[in-house]
Amino acid sequence: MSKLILGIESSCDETAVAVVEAGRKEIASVIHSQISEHAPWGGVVPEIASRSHLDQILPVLDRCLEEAQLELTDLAGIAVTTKPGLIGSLLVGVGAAKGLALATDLPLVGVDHIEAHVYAAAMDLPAPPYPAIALVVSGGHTALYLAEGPLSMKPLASTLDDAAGEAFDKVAHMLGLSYPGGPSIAKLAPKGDPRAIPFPRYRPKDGSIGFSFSGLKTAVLYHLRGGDALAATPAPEDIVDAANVAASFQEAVVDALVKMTLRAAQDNHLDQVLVAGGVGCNQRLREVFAAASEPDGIETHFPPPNRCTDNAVMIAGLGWHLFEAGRAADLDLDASPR
Amino acid sequence: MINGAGQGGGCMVRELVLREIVSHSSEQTLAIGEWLGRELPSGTLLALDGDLGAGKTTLTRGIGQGLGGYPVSSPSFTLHDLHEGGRLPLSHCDAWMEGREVAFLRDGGSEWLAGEGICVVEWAERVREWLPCPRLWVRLLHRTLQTRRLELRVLGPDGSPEGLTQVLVQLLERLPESGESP
Repeated sequence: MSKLILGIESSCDETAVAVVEAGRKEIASVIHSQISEHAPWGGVVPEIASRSHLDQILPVLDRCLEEAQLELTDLAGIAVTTKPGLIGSLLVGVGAAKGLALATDLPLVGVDHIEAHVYAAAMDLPAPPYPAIALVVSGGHTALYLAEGPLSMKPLASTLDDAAGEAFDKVAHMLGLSYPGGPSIAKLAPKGDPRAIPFPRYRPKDGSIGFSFSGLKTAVLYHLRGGDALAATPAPEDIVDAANVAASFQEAVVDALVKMTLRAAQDNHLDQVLVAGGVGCNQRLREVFAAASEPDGIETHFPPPNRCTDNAVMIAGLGWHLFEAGRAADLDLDASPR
Repeated sequence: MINGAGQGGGCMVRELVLREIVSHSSEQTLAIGEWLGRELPSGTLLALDGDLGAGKTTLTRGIGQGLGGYPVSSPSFTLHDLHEGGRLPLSHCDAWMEGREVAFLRDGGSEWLAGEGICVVEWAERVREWLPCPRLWVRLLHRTLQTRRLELRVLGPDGSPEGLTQVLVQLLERLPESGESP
């Protein structure tokens, strides 16, 4: 009996197809990134994204099967991201998955993109890390969950305003750095002093767990304006301490993420933490997590860098568990933006 | 006169009423938003503009609260969030990246601007040509590090206000500065 699951991911700006065996072993993974198509706009353009997915989905599928040296008939099932994401993009993947299921009679399952990101941090571990605290941090999300298992995630807290990745994008824009802002700031930050500017770290007034990055973004703006709210924002080329701003800003984001996540772990008496999403690629975040977790006996797990950003390995991997749990869908499976 | 002619509006609009309020804290901005969320009539297009950090998302969070506890956050990434289940649906758009938003509006997103419920557009100045009239236009300005000036205007067609325009004008006239209903 085959344990090979085909995963399809198209929720945002990557078209990805992968084959994974029994939820753990990657057989093949192909990703077409649209990042260069969106870069001129400074962000993902939904219409461009869905058109590009349409162009790429079948070639990416073919390349994946070729890399895996498999036929569709070797598979046990098809898993596809159904939510959350850009609806026009999701529909391309869901449409392709349904067409394949219809043509091959393979069972179909819909996968939650956020749960799959968290699973990406767990799937390579020698033993299941559950229950664990999961931090999902990307351009669109910054949230903490209590993960009781790969298919059971209870939301604990979510950002009040901007996602962490979005704050990176906006600060990068102020500093005249290229999109996406995360890698641009991470590249400049080592040239600056992370303690040069004491940017604020948000803490909910009632002592609960939560995130907010809007105040931090405003603090960066005011710093660039020399502490005068009414002053003009300097042009990027006139900013003399950009490296210090990048380093201090990144430190403030990392600090907030690490402190709140470890607090959530302690409050729930858990010693396992999973970090997922594009911002999980950030090297400084990984360093600070490692240093801060250890004294408390907490283990923090990150996916390998190529599985922090969107990929289909995590979809096929989690899809296996969904099939095992009897959660197969029928052909009226639908996509949803949230 | 503000020229509102464009794909979305197609009308000349003028300023019918202006309210200026100083907000002394983000809590006050939130409370003003909540009041608007409780009171705004269906079909309102609320255009928001102002610098980064001036409080656009904070005001919208208040509106989401007032409409029915919607968990509003920044839609910069998704471009458009739809919240349903409260007093009225809330459609929340963000034109921070102008080119992206115009592509979104051109791609059918513009139907959200004049739909049932409340539509809030952040960075509205960048897509002004797309916005229907009448509209409630709120500009948030940095004043000191903690305080903001809110300029709230109803922009509507020439002539004496009627229908939705009239409702918006009256609403703005009785908006409490604190956001707390008397």
